[in-house]
Amino acid sequence: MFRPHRDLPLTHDPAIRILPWIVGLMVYLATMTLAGALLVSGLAAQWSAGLTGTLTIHIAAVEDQSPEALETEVKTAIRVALKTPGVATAQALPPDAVAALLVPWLGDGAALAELPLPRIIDVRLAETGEVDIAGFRRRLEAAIPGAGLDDHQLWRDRLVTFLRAVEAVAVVMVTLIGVTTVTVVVFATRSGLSVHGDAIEILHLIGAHDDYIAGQFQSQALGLGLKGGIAGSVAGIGTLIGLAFAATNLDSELFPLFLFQPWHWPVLATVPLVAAFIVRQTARRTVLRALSRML
Amino acid sequence: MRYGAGPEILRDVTFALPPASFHFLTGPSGAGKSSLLRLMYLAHRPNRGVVTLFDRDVATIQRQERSEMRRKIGVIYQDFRLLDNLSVFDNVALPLRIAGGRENQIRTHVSELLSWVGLDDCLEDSPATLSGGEQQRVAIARAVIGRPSLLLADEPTGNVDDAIAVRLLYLFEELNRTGTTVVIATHNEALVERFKHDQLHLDQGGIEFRRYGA
Repeated sequence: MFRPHRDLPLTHDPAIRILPWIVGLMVYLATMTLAGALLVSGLAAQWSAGLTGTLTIHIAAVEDQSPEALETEVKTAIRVALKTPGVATAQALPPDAVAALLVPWLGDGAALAELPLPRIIDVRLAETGEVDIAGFRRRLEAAIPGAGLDDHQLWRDRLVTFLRAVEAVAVVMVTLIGVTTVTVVVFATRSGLSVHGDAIEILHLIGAHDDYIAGQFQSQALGLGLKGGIAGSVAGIGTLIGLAFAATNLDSELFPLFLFQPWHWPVLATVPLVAAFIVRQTARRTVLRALSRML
Repeated sequence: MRYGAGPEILRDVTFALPPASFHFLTGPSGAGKSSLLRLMYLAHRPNRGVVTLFDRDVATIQRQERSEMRRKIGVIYQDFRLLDNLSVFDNVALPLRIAGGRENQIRTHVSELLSWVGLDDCLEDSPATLSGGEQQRVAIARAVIGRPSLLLADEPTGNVDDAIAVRLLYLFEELNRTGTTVVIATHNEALVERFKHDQLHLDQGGIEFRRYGA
Protein backbone atom coordinates (compact mmCIF):
# COMPACT_ATOMS: atom_id res chain seq x y z
CA MET A 1 0.00 0.00 0.00
CA PHE A 2 1.23 3.50 -0.82
CA ARG A 3 2.27 5.51 2.19
CA PRO A 4 3.47 9.09 1.90
CA HIS A 5 7.00 9.77 3.12
CA ARG A 6 6.96 11.54 6.45
CA ASP A 7 10.22 13.37 7.00
CA LEU A 8 9.26 14.65 10.44
CA PRO A 9 8.79 12.21 13.37
CA LEU A 10 5.46 13.74 14.38
CA THR A 11 4.05 10.49 15.75
CA HIS A 12 6.43 10.70 18.70
CA ASP A 13 5.26 14.14 19.87
CA PRO A 14 3.28 13.92 23.12
CA ALA A 15 0.99 16.75 22.00
CA ILE A 16 0.24 15.02 18.69
CA ARG A 17 -0.26 11.62 20.32
CA ILE A 18 -3.04 12.98 22.52
CA LEU A 19 -4.91 14.28 19.47
CA PRO A 20 -6.93 11.09 18.67
CA TRP A 21 -8.18 10.98 22.26
CA ILE A 22 -9.31 14.60 22.18
CA VAL A 23 -10.92 14.25 18.76
CA GLY A 24 -12.59 10.99 19.84
CA LEU A 25 -14.06 12.63 22.92
CA MET A 26 -15.23 15.66 20.96
CA VAL A 27 -16.83 13.52 18.25
CA TYR A 28 -18.59 11.47 20.94
CA LEU A 29 -19.99 14.65 22.52
CA ALA A 30 -20.95 16.12 19.14
CA THR A 31 -22.67 12.88 18.11
CA MET A 32 -24.68 12.75 21.32
CA THR A 33 -25.60 16.45 21.07
CA LEU A 34 -26.64 16.16 17.44
CA ALA A 35 -28.59 12.97 18.14
CA GLY A 36 -30.41 14.69 21.00
CA ALA A 37 -31.32 17.63 18.80
CA LEU A 38 -32.50 15.37 15.97
CA LEU A 39 -34.54 13.25 18.36
CA VAL A 40 -36.26 16.17 20.06
CA SER A 41 -36.91 17.79 16.72
CA GLY A 42 -38.36 14.56 15.33
CA LEU A 43 -40.57 13.90 18.35
CA ALA A 44 -41.83 17.46 18.37
CA ALA A 45 -42.66 17.23 14.67
CA GLN A 46 -44.46 13.95 15.33
CA TRP A 47 -46.51 15.44 18.17
CA SER A 48 -47.24 18.62 16.26
CA ALA A 49 -48.34 16.65 13.18
CA GLY A 50 -50.68 14.62 15.39
CA LEU A 51 -52.33 17.82 16.56
CA THR A 52 -52.46 19.72 13.29
CA GLY A 53 -55.93 19.62 11.74
CA THR A 54 -57.64 18.64 14.94
CA LEU A 55 -59.66 20.36 17.66
CA THR A 56 -60.86 18.99 20.94
CA ILE A 57 -64.17 19.78 22.58
CA HIS A 58 -64.39 18.93 26.24
CA ILE A 59 -67.56 18.97 28.25
CA ALA A 60 -67.10 18.91 32.00
CA ALA A 61 -69.28 16.55 33.98
CA VAL A 62 -71.39 18.47 36.46
CA GLU A 63 -72.24 17.02 39.83
CA ASP A 64 -75.68 15.43 39.96
CA GLN A 65 -75.93 15.52 36.17
CA SER A 66 -77.42 12.36 34.75
CA PRO A 67 -75.48 10.40 32.13
CA GLU A 68 -78.36 10.95 29.72
CA ALA A 69 -78.15 14.73 30.11
CA LEU A 70 -74.39 14.60 29.51
CA GLU A 71 -74.94 12.44 26.43
CA THR A 72 -77.47 15.01 25.14
CA GLU A 73 -74.85 17.75 25.55
CA VAL A 74 -72.35 15.63 23.63
CA LYS A 75 -74.78 15.20 20.74
CA THR A 76 -75.51 18.93 20.75
CA ALA A 77 -71.80 19.70 20.65
CA ILE A 78 -71.32 17.28 17.74
CA ARG A 79 -74.15 18.99 15.87
CA VAL A 80 -72.67 22.43 16.44
CA ALA A 81 -69.31 21.15 15.26
CA LEU A 82 -70.62 19.53 12.10
CA LYS A 83 -72.50 22.71 11.18
CA THR A 84 -69.29 24.73 11.41
CA PRO A 85 -67.73 25.33 7.97
CA GLY A 86 -64.34 23.57 7.62
CA VAL A 87 -65.08 20.72 10.04
CA ALA A 88 -64.93 17.28 8.46
CA THR A 89 -65.85 14.95 11.33
CA ALA A 90 -66.72 15.14 15.01
CA GLN A 91 -66.62 12.00 17.12
CA ALA A 92 -67.12 11.57 20.85
CA LEU A 93 -64.59 9.42 22.66
CA PRO A 94 -66.37 6.64 24.58
CA PRO A 95 -66.20 7.09 28.38
CA ASP A 96 -63.96 3.99 28.53
CA ALA A 97 -61.44 5.63 26.19
CA VAL A 98 -61.41 8.79 28.33
CA ALA A 99 -60.85 6.69 31.44
CA ALA A 100 -58.02 4.83 29.67
CA LEU A 101 -56.25 8.17 29.08
CA LEU A 102 -56.13 8.69 32.83
CA VAL A 103 -54.81 5.25 33.70
CA PRO A 104 -51.10 6.27 33.54
CA TRP A 105 -51.74 8.93 36.21
CA LEU A 106 -54.47 7.47 38.37
CA GLY A 107 -53.95 3.75 37.93
CA ASP A 108 -56.45 1.12 36.86
CA GLY A 109 -58.46 1.09 40.08
CA ALA A 110 -62.14 1.06 40.83
CA ALA A 111 -61.95 4.71 41.97
CA LEU A 112 -61.68 5.80 38.38
CA ALA A 113 -65.21 4.64 37.63
CA GLU A 114 -66.59 6.78 40.42
CA LEU A 115 -65.00 9.98 39.19
CA PRO A 116 -67.12 12.46 37.19
CA LEU A 117 -65.17 12.14 33.95
CA PRO A 118 -65.50 14.84 31.28
CA ARG A 119 -66.52 13.92 27.75
CA ILE A 120 -64.16 14.59 24.91
CA ILE A 121 -65.07 15.07 21.27
CA ASP A 122 -62.39 14.71 18.66
CA VAL A 123 -62.97 17.16 15.81
CA ARG A 124 -61.15 16.66 12.51
CA LEU A 125 -60.85 19.56 10.11
CA ALA A 126 -61.20 19.36 6.34
CA GLU A 127 -57.78 19.52 4.66
CA THR A 128 -58.42 22.75 2.78
CA GLY A 129 -61.03 24.23 5.05
CA GLU A 130 -60.52 27.39 7.04
CA VAL A 131 -62.28 27.32 10.41
CA ASP A 132 -63.47 30.35 12.33
CA ILE A 133 -62.27 29.11 15.71
CA ALA A 134 -63.60 32.12 17.64
CA GLY A 135 -67.08 31.80 16.09
CA PHE A 136 -67.06 28.05 16.70
CA ARG A 137 -66.13 28.60 20.35
CA ARG A 138 -68.86 31.23 20.78
CA ARG A 139 -71.57 29.00 19.32
CA LEU A 140 -70.43 26.04 21.38
CA GLU A 141 -70.42 27.95 24.66
CA ALA A 142 -73.88 29.39 23.85
CA ALA A 143 -75.27 25.91 23.22
CA ILE A 144 -73.55 24.17 26.15
CA PRO A 145 -72.47 26.28 29.10
CA GLY A 146 -69.21 24.94 30.49
CA ALA A 147 -68.07 23.35 27.20
CA GLY A 148 -64.57 24.22 26.00
CA LEU A 149 -62.78 24.18 22.65
CA ASP A 150 -59.06 23.50 22.55
CA ASP A 151 -57.23 24.26 19.31
CA HIS A 152 -53.84 23.22 20.86
CA GLN A 153 -52.35 26.58 19.82
CA LEU A 154 -50.87 27.31 23.23
CA TRP A 155 -49.29 23.88 23.41
CA ARG A 156 -47.91 24.22 19.88
CA ASP A 157 -46.48 27.67 20.65
CA ARG A 158 -44.75 26.34 23.73
CA LEU A 159 -43.47 23.38 21.74
CA VAL A 160 -42.00 25.64 19.08
CA THR A 161 -40.33 27.80 21.75
CA PHE A 162 -38.92 24.71 23.44
CA LEU A 163 -37.73 23.31 20.13
CA ARG A 164 -35.95 26.53 19.23
CA ALA A 165 -34.28 26.56 22.65
CA VAL A 166 -33.12 22.96 22.19
CA GLU A 167 -31.79 23.76 18.72
CA ALA A 168 -29.97 26.84 20.02
CA VAL A 169 -28.39 24.85 22.85
CA ALA A 170 -27.33 22.16 20.36
CA VAL A 171 -25.77 24.74 18.04
CA VAL A 172 -23.92 26.38 20.95
CA MET A 173 -22.66 23.01 22.18
CA VAL A 174 -21.49 21.84 18.76
CA THR A 175 -19.80 25.22 18.23
CA LEU A 176 -18.03 24.95 21.59
CA ILE A 177 -16.94 21.41 20.75
CA GLY A 178 -15.61 22.64 17.40
CA VAL A 179 -13.77 25.59 18.96
CA THR A 180 -12.22 23.31 21.60
CA THR A 181 -11.07 20.86 18.93
CA VAL A 182 -9.57 23.64 16.81
CA THR A 183 -7.77 25.09 19.84
CA VAL A 184 -6.27 21.73 20.77
CA VAL A 185 -5.13 21.11 17.19
CA VAL A 186 -3.56 24.58 16.98
CA PHE A 187 -1.57 23.99 20.19
CA ALA A 188 -0.55 20.46 19.18
CA THR A 189 0.60 21.70 15.78
CA ARG A 190 2.49 24.63 17.26
CA SER A 191 4.15 22.24 19.66
CA GLY A 192 5.16 20.05 16.71
CA LEU A 193 6.51 23.07 14.85
CA SER A 194 8.55 24.04 17.87
CA VAL A 195 9.92 20.55 18.53
CA HIS A 196 10.87 20.02 14.89
CA GLY A 197 12.03 23.56 14.15
CA ASP A 198 15.52 22.45 13.10
CA ALA A 199 14.26 19.71 10.80
CA ILE A 200 11.73 22.08 9.26
CA GLU A 201 14.50 24.58 8.58
CA ILE A 202 16.53 21.86 6.87
CA LEU A 203 13.59 20.89 4.68
CA HIS A 204 13.17 24.56 3.80
CA LEU A 205 16.84 24.99 2.96
CA ILE A 206 16.77 21.89 0.78
CA GLY A 207 13.98 23.57 -1.19
CA ALA A 208 10.74 22.27 0.31
CA HIS A 209 7.75 24.47 -0.42
CA ASP A 210 5.50 25.48 2.47
CA ASP A 211 2.90 23.11 1.04
CA TYR A 212 5.32 20.18 1.32
CA ILE A 213 5.96 20.85 5.02
CA ALA A 214 2.31 21.63 5.75
CA GLY A 215 1.46 18.37 3.97
CA GLN A 216 3.47 16.43 6.54
CA PHE A 217 1.46 17.93 9.38
CA GLN A 218 -1.93 17.82 7.69
CA SER A 219 -1.69 14.19 6.59
CA GLN A 220 -0.64 13.25 10.11
CA ALA A 221 -3.48 15.30 11.59
CA LEU A 222 -6.01 13.83 9.14
CA GLY A 223 -4.96 10.27 10.01
CA LEU A 224 -5.12 10.89 13.74
CA GLY A 225 -8.35 12.86 13.41
CA LEU A 226 -10.01 10.01 11.50
CA LYS A 227 -8.71 7.44 13.95
CA GLY A 228 -10.01 9.32 16.99
CA GLY A 229 -13.15 10.49 15.20
CA ILE A 230 -14.21 7.02 14.08
CA ALA A 231 -13.61 5.65 17.59
CA GLY A 232 -15.69 8.48 19.09
CA SER A 233 -18.41 7.98 16.50
CA VAL A 234 -18.59 4.21 17.11
CA ALA A 235 -18.82 4.84 20.85
CA GLY A 236 -21.49 7.53 20.36
CA ILE A 237 -23.63 5.53 17.95
CA GLY A 238 -23.20 2.47 20.16
CA THR A 239 -24.48 4.44 23.13
CA LEU A 240 -27.49 5.65 21.11
CA ILE A 241 -28.33 2.14 19.95
CA GLY A 242 -28.13 0.97 23.56
CA LEU A 243 -30.44 3.80 24.70
CA ALA A 244 -32.87 3.11 21.86
CA PHE A 245 -32.96 -0.57 22.82
CA ALA A 246 -33.53 0.29 26.46
CA ALA A 247 -36.30 2.77 25.54
CA THR A 248 -38.23 0.26 23.43
CA ASN A 249 -38.24 -2.10 26.41
CA LEU A 250 -39.83 0.54 28.67
CA ASP A 251 -43.27 -0.07 27.16
CA SER A 252 -44.53 3.12 28.76
CA GLU A 253 -47.31 5.26 27.45
CA LEU A 254 -45.81 8.29 29.14
CA PHE A 255 -42.35 7.91 27.62
CA PRO A 256 -42.26 8.70 23.91
CA LEU A 257 -40.76 6.07 21.65
CA PHE A 258 -36.99 6.50 21.30
CA LEU A 259 -37.02 6.25 17.56
CA PHE A 260 -34.53 7.56 15.03
CA GLN A 261 -35.42 8.15 11.43
CA PRO A 262 -33.34 6.16 8.92
CA TRP A 263 -31.76 9.37 7.63
CA HIS A 264 -30.50 10.29 11.10
CA TRP A 265 -27.81 7.59 11.04
CA PRO A 266 -25.93 8.83 7.93
CA VAL A 267 -26.08 12.37 9.36
CA LEU A 268 -24.50 11.15 12.60
CA ALA A 269 -21.93 9.13 10.64
CA THR A 270 -20.66 12.31 8.95
CA VAL A 271 -19.59 13.79 12.30
CA PRO A 272 -16.15 12.06 12.40
CA LEU A 273 -15.52 12.95 8.76
CA VAL A 274 -16.31 16.60 9.38
CA ALA A 275 -14.16 16.52 12.52
CA ALA A 276 -11.22 14.96 10.65
CA PHE A 277 -11.53 17.58 7.92
CA ILE A 278 -11.56 20.39 10.49
CA VAL A 279 -8.48 18.89 12.20
CA ARG A 280 -6.65 18.63 8.88
CA GLN A 281 -7.47 22.17 7.79
CA THR A 282 -6.58 23.59 11.19
CA ALA A 283 -3.18 21.87 11.17
CA ARG A 284 -2.52 23.05 7.63
CA ARG A 285 -3.44 26.67 8.29
CA THR A 286 -1.44 26.72 11.52
CA VAL A 287 1.68 25.43 9.77
CA LEU A 288 1.34 27.73 6.76
CA ARG A 289 0.88 30.70 9.04
CA ALA A 290 3.98 29.80 11.04
CA LEU A 291 6.06 29.13 7.93
CA SER A 292 5.10 32.46 6.41
CA ARG A 293 7.11 34.09 9.19
CA MET A 294 10.22 32.11 8.24
CA LEU A 295 12.67 33.33 5.60
CA MET B 1 25.57 41.42 8.13
CA ARG B 2 24.93 41.01 11.84
CA TYR B 3 22.91 38.65 14.07
CA GLY B 4 20.27 40.62 15.95
CA ALA B 5 21.82 43.56 17.73
CA GLY B 6 25.28 41.97 17.72
CA PRO B 7 28.40 43.31 16.06
CA GLU B 8 28.68 43.49 12.29
CA ILE B 9 30.28 40.26 11.11
CA LEU B 10 30.60 41.00 7.42
CA ARG B 11 30.87 44.44 5.82
CA ASP B 12 31.73 45.75 2.40
CA VAL B 13 32.00 42.22 1.09
CA THR B 14 31.74 42.38 -2.67
CA PHE B 15 32.52 39.52 -5.00
CA ALA B 16 31.08 37.63 -7.94
CA LEU B 17 31.41 33.93 -8.67
CA PRO B 18 31.55 33.05 -12.35
CA PRO B 19 29.40 30.02 -13.28
CA ALA B 20 31.24 26.70 -12.95
CA SER B 21 34.03 28.27 -10.89
CA PHE B 22 35.75 26.61 -7.92
CA HIS B 23 36.79 28.61 -4.87
CA PHE B 24 38.08 27.88 -1.43
CA LEU B 25 36.70 30.18 1.26
CA THR B 26 39.46 30.65 3.81
CA GLY B 27 40.11 32.78 6.83
CA PRO B 28 40.68 32.51 10.56
CA SER B 29 38.02 31.23 12.91
CA GLY B 30 35.32 33.85 13.49
CA ALA B 31 36.11 35.66 10.24
CA GLY B 32 32.55 35.07 8.99
CA LYS B 33 32.95 32.13 6.62
CA SER B 34 29.83 30.32 7.86
CA SER B 35 27.88 33.60 7.94
CA LEU B 36 28.81 34.33 4.33
CA LEU B 37 27.68 30.84 3.36
CA ARG B 38 24.39 31.38 5.27
CA LEU B 39 23.75 34.45 3.14
CA MET B 40 24.51 32.42 0.01
CA TYR B 41 22.20 29.53 0.85
CA LEU B 42 19.38 31.92 1.78
CA ALA B 43 19.24 31.12 5.50
CA HIS B 44 19.82 34.75 6.44
CA ARG B 45 19.00 38.18 5.07
CA PRO B 46 21.72 40.79 4.82
CA ASN B 47 21.11 43.85 7.00
CA ARG B 48 22.26 45.96 4.09
CA GLY B 49 23.60 45.37 0.64
CA VAL B 50 22.46 43.08 -2.16
CA VAL B 51 22.82 39.33 -2.68
CA THR B 52 22.33 38.23 -6.25
CA LEU B 53 21.99 34.55 -7.06
CA PHE B 54 21.42 33.12 -10.53
CA ASP B 55 21.04 36.70 -11.82
CA ARG B 56 18.21 37.45 -9.36
CA ASP B 57 18.25 39.83 -6.40
CA VAL B 58 17.18 37.46 -3.64
CA ALA B 59 15.41 40.27 -1.74
CA THR B 60 12.89 40.67 -4.54
CA ILE B 61 11.98 37.06 -5.30
CA GLN B 62 8.69 35.49 -4.27
CA ARG B 63 8.55 32.87 -1.53
CA GLN B 64 7.81 30.08 -4.03
CA GLU B 65 10.77 31.10 -6.21
CA ARG B 66 13.01 31.13 -3.15
CA SER B 67 12.28 27.43 -2.63
CA GLU B 68 13.00 26.71 -6.30
CA MET B 69 16.27 28.62 -6.00
CA ARG B 70 17.26 26.64 -2.92
CA ARG B 71 16.89 23.43 -4.90
CA LYS B 72 19.73 24.62 -7.12
CA ILE B 73 21.97 25.00 -4.09
CA GLY B 74 23.59 22.05 -2.37
CA VAL B 75 24.82 22.72 1.16
CA ILE B 76 27.15 20.72 3.37
CA TYR B 77 26.78 22.00 6.90
CA GLN B 78 29.58 22.00 9.42
CA ASP B 79 27.33 20.12 11.87
CA PHE B 80 25.85 17.94 9.07
CA ARG B 81 22.22 18.66 10.06
CA LEU B 82 20.97 15.18 9.18
CA LEU B 83 17.49 14.06 10.19
CA ASP B 84 18.01 11.28 12.72
CA ASN B 85 14.48 9.94 12.36
CA LEU B 86 15.20 9.08 8.73
CA SER B 87 17.53 6.38 7.46
CA VAL B 88 20.77 7.22 5.69
CA PHE B 89 19.03 6.39 2.41
CA ASP B 90 16.04 8.65 3.12
CA ASN B 91 18.28 11.53 4.21
CA VAL B 92 20.13 11.43 0.92
CA ALA B 93 16.91 10.94 -1.03
CA LEU B 94 15.30 13.99 0.60
CA PRO B 95 16.25 16.62 -2.04
CA LEU B 96 15.02 14.38 -4.85
CA ARG B 97 11.75 13.63 -3.08
CA ILE B 98 11.18 17.30 -2.32
CA ALA B 99 11.80 18.05 -5.98
CA GLY B 100 9.17 15.44 -6.90
CA GLY B 101 11.51 12.78 -8.33
CA ARG B 102 10.31 9.30 -9.27
CA GLU B 103 10.86 6.70 -6.60
CA ASN B 104 12.57 4.14 -8.86
CA GLN B 105 15.03 6.75 -10.12
CA ILE B 106 15.62 8.01 -6.60
CA ARG B 107 16.41 4.47 -5.46
CA THR B 108 18.96 3.98 -8.22
CA HIS B 109 20.71 7.34 -7.86
CA VAL B 110 20.86 7.33 -4.08
CA SER B 111 22.17 3.76 -3.93
CA GLU B 112 24.87 4.55 -6.48
CA LEU B 113 26.01 7.68 -4.69
CA LEU B 114 26.04 6.06 -1.25
CA SER B 115 28.07 3.21 -2.71
CA TRP B 116 30.49 5.74 -4.15
CA VAL B 117 31.04 7.43 -0.77
CA GLY B 118 31.47 4.02 0.85
CA LEU B 119 28.22 3.85 2.76
CA ASP B 120 26.43 1.09 0.87
CA ASP B 121 26.42 -1.09 3.99
CA CYS B 122 24.37 1.29 6.10
CA LEU B 123 21.54 2.44 3.85
CA GLU B 124 18.87 1.71 6.43
CA ASP B 125 20.84 2.84 9.47
CA SER B 126 19.97 5.95 11.41
CA PRO B 127 22.59 8.70 11.01
CA ALA B 128 22.79 8.86 14.81
CA THR B 129 24.44 5.42 14.82
CA LEU B 130 27.21 6.48 12.40
CA SER B 131 30.63 7.92 13.16
CA GLY B 132 31.32 11.62 12.54
CA GLY B 133 33.13 10.84 9.29
CA GLU B 134 30.28 8.67 8.05
CA GLN B 135 27.72 11.32 8.93
CA GLN B 136 29.75 13.84 7.01
CA ARG B 137 29.71 11.62 3.94
CA VAL B 138 25.93 11.27 4.24
CA ALA B 139 25.66 15.08 4.43
CA ILE B 140 27.86 15.41 1.36
CA ALA B 141 25.81 12.83 -0.53
CA ARG B 142 22.61 14.73 0.36
CA ALA B 143 24.13 17.99 -0.88
CA VAL B 144 25.26 16.65 -4.24
CA ILE B 145 22.50 14.14 -5.07
CA GLY B 146 20.44 16.78 -6.88
CA ARG B 147 23.41 17.90 -9.02
CA PRO B 148 23.15 21.48 -7.74
CA SER B 149 24.22 24.51 -9.75
CA LEU B 150 25.93 25.91 -6.65
CA LEU B 151 27.61 23.75 -4.01
CA LEU B 152 28.44 25.38 -0.67
CA ALA B 153 30.45 23.36 1.82
CA ASP B 154 31.32 24.39 5.35
CA GLU B 155 34.40 22.47 6.46
CA PRO B 156 33.37 19.36 4.52
CA THR B 157 36.56 17.46 5.30
CA GLY B 158 36.76 18.33 8.98
CA ASN B 159 35.80 14.89 10.23
CA VAL B 160 37.33 12.57 7.65
CA ASP B 161 40.84 11.25 7.21
CA ASP B 162 43.12 12.61 4.53
CA ALA B 163 42.43 9.82 2.05
CA ILE B 164 38.68 10.36 2.17
CA ALA B 165 39.16 14.15 2.17
CA VAL B 166 41.09 13.91 -1.07
CA ARG B 167 38.46 11.59 -2.52
CA LEU B 168 35.70 14.02 -1.60
CA LEU B 169 37.57 16.89 -3.19
CA TYR B 170 37.78 14.83 -6.37
CA LEU B 171 34.01 14.43 -6.19
CA PHE B 172 33.58 18.21 -5.88
CA GLU B 173 35.93 18.74 -8.81
CA GLU B 174 33.96 16.23 -10.82
CA LEU B 175 30.75 18.15 -10.08
CA ASN B 176 32.55 21.38 -10.93
CA ARG B 177 33.57 19.98 -14.31
CA THR B 178 29.90 19.26 -15.08
CA GLY B 179 29.02 22.93 -14.46
CA THR B 180 28.51 23.25 -10.71
CA THR B 181 29.89 26.35 -9.03
CA VAL B 182 31.73 25.22 -5.89
CA VAL B 183 32.64 27.17 -2.75
CA ILE B 184 34.38 25.27 0.04
CA ALA B 185 35.02 26.88 3.39
CA THR B 186 38.04 25.19 4.95
CA HIS B 187 40.90 25.48 7.37
CA ASN B 188 42.78 22.68 5.67
CA GLU B 189 45.82 24.42 4.18
CA ALA B 190 47.13 21.16 2.73
CA LEU B 191 43.99 20.66 0.68
CA VAL B 192 44.04 24.25 -0.50
CA GLU B 193 47.64 23.74 -1.62
CA ARG B 194 46.98 20.39 -3.25
CA PHE B 195 43.85 21.38 -5.19
CA LYS B 196 44.84 24.42 -7.11
CA HIS B 197 41.86 26.78 -7.03
CA ASP B 198 41.26 30.47 -6.36
CA GLN B 199 40.56 31.62 -2.82
CA LEU B 200 38.14 34.02 -1.19
CA HIS B 201 39.91 35.04 1.99
CA LEU B 202 37.87 36.57 4.79
CA ASP B 203 39.49 38.54 7.57
CA GLN B 204 38.16 41.14 9.99
CA GLY B 205 34.80 41.28 8.20
CA GLY B 206 36.26 42.06 4.78
CA ILE B 207 37.06 39.83 1.79
CA GLU B 208 40.16 39.45 -0.36
CA PHE B 209 40.26 37.61 -3.66
CA ARG B 210 43.39 35.44 -4.09
CA ARG B 211 43.93 34.00 -7.54
CA TYR B 212 45.77 30.72 -7.50
CA GLY B 213 49.40 31.11 -8.46
CA ALA B 214 49.30 34.91 -8.30
